[in-house]
Amino acid sequence: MFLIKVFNFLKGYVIIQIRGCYIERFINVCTHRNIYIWDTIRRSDNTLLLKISIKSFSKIRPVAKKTKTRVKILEKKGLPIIINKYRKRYLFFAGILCFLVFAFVSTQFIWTVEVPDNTEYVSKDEIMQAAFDSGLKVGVFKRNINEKDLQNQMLYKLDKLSWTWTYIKGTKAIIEVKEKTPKPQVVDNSVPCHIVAEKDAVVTTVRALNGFANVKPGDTVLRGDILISGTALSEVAGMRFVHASGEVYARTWAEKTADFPMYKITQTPTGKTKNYYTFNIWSKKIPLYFKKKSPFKNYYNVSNRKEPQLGKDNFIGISIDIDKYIEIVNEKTPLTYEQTLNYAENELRKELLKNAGENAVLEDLNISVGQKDEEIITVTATAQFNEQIGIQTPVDMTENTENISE
Amino acid sequence: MKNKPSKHIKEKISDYLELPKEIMLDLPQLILKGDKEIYIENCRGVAEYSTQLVRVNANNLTVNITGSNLNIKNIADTQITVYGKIKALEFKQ
Repeated sequence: MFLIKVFNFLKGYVIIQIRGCYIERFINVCTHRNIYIWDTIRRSDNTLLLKISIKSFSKIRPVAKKTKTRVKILEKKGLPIIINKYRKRYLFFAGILCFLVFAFVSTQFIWTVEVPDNTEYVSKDEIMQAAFDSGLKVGVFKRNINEKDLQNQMLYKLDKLSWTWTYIKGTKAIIEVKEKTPKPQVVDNSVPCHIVAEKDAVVTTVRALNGFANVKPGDTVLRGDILISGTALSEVAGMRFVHASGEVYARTWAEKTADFPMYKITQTPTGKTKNYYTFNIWSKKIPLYFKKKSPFKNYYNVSNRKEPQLGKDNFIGISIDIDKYIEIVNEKTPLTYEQTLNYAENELRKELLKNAGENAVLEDLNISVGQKDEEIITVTATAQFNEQIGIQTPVDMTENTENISE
Repeated sequence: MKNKPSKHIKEKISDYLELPKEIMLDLPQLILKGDKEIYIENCRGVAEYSTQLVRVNANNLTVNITGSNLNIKNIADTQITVYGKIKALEFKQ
């Protein structure tokens, strides 16, 4: 049985050779004297190999004398033998002890602070900073952290949070937060204002909810023109001020020109790599190189980190950063005129859409080729958008009062 | 001579009451694992031991185990396990 084998190993045993004429008698005497024997092998008529525990080996001498057999130790096995062998290696044991102490001590500190990254109104850095100010930082002694106190302090420091929860898992401190929903914006209807054009455009639709429409579809407006007026001069009531609101949709144009090469560069790694290692101990960096320099002309680099852990979540404050430089070869693949144009159109469309407003709808995209070279073509894209251009601006009261006085 | 009738009685009683015979009659109990291993309980030591033949004393009985590559796996006061290739078992009074 495996368990018995393990037990025998832990207790230690010897393999001995018995030589003599009365081997059966030897066995019987042993059993009578409560000496446990196992795994015997009959070598020849007068020799026998057997296993016996270290403890009962001392009892075997009188038995051997009685049965006139000779005993010879062939092998010693087991844990006590191993320990005995390395007994004098003090440094070895000191090393083991040191490691255990180190592992124990280093797991008593916080090495990582985990912050949720799905927050909407509070940035990760803000939470980090608040935690740092409240005393939760990398390298702090675990027992000194009062989780409840920390939670209260965090809430006090970050107004935008409604709930926090901090717990320590191994050497990792995990912060969980719940944000407050921000107050909705209250429209102050009492302040008179105009709806003003944000950019030059041709008006397509006017939807005035409050105020007086100044433009009609088809009108060309310039930036700053009043689209929906918040003031009206009435013959009966005199000057009236209202808080204009509404939407004005208009056509806008944007243009973008760029040069595009008529080839594509593909990068293929050559297989040559060079690693630079940095040893991190307790957030101190020890570079394991003299000078970090790329040995290749064309390269890209990848860095990753390796963290040995004692069990799950028990990061012991040691890690190795690996900075890998990978050599690449740039290969030119020629593109046809159509392919380049296609690519250019896509790129320019992306760029134009990025620059346009959030609610802009692309209506039309015109591509024109300006200059054609052997390798480079200049492409201009003109995009037509339909977007809301009205923005609210308060009415300049002084101007209007002057008008009245006139 | 006096022992004999008492043994009969013991056997009868154990038969009648369905008591285990190995305890009542002090018989060896043997457990065979195919032809590979034999475990004998309630024995009184090894009478002969070689790779072809192992003779085990068990009170009034002697168990002869014949085969090849026979060896003792373990041996204690009243039990013995022999392994190897067992060919035959023989009982002698």
